[in-house]
Amino acid sequence: MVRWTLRSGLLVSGLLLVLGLARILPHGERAPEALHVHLATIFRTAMAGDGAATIQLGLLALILTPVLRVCALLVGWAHARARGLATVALAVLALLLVSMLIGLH
Amino acid sequence: MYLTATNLLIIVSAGAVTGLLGALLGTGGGFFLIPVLVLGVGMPMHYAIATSIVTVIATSSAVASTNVERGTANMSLGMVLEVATAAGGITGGLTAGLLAPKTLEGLFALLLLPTAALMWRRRTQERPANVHEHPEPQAARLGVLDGCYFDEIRNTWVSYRIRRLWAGLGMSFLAGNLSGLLGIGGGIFKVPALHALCEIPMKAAAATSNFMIGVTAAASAFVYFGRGEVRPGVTAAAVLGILAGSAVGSILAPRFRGDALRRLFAVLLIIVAAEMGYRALGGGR
Repeated sequence: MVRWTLRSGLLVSGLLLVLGLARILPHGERAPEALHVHLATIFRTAMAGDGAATIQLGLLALILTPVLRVCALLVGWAHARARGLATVALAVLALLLVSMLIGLH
Repeated sequence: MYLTATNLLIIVSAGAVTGLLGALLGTGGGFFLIPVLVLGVGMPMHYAIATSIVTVIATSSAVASTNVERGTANMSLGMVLEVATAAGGITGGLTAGLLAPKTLEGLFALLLLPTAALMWRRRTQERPANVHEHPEPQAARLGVLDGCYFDEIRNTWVSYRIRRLWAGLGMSFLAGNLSGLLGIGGGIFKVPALHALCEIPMKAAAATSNFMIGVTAAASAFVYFGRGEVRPGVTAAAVLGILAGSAVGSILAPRFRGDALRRLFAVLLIIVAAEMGYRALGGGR
């Protein structure tokens, strides 16, 4: 189950990456200052055909895969009543969230 | 920075090698990819680090999506150690601004020496007292953090009990700090922590480390992404290379013997230590 989720996540990510690369290769990399980092903007411009934004969506999907793994393990352990391990997984998830919040202010 | 055909080829190939190594050894491959990006393609260091962090996740998830990890990776132990690693990652990320890059690299190089010594000491015992081989899986008498997996080369089930959990946690915390400071996955320290300190067999150590580095890298990745340091074109090319390389590596991995992997890892440690020492002493900028 987890492996299926991972594979589909990677597939989606890979497709977006190939699509985005195909669009930006003729033009070269965009300058760093012009890169969007807000999710809404990225979505919008990707829909409009922006190669860089498409890639960014693919990369975000990729970055989420480990987080999903931890969630899957948390659910599995909670379901199996392995309370100690479930708590540990929750702690890791919380730490992940903290670092995300710290990083994105 | 333009994505010329040559650069693209370099990046994808480097990604493939990284993915291959990652599948075999449980490392993220940043120590290989970053120099290629900086020296081979001319990318500024902080962008190279950001790309590397994302590629660590690619390696980790790609290998995890195959059969290689199943049963071999010790998720329970990995998750427990990840608490220490993630905590270290946060403190490392916070203190990153206080230390000069050369100091960080020097620190890293210095820490590699005792790590190499640990792995060297471990080399004579593929089957120490806490590891047992048997024809059938025997989970019954094992503790929560112990493990059991099937080794295809030895054609036997291998069960092991972990040792020195506290030392493993300490080293994981350290690895986490370096991860936050240098933007690496930390596998180069996690594998020795698992194999030499906690004394789990090399294959299990590699698979468990592979699981852990993805989680560690995910924490930092959001930060780098939010700062706009993840260059789309280069990162996309590297990730695609990794997906290919790790596919090949996953097919090859079960055919390697534990001590062959350990020797490969030792060579890696020497190369990384040399690279870090060189950078700390002022070269390559």
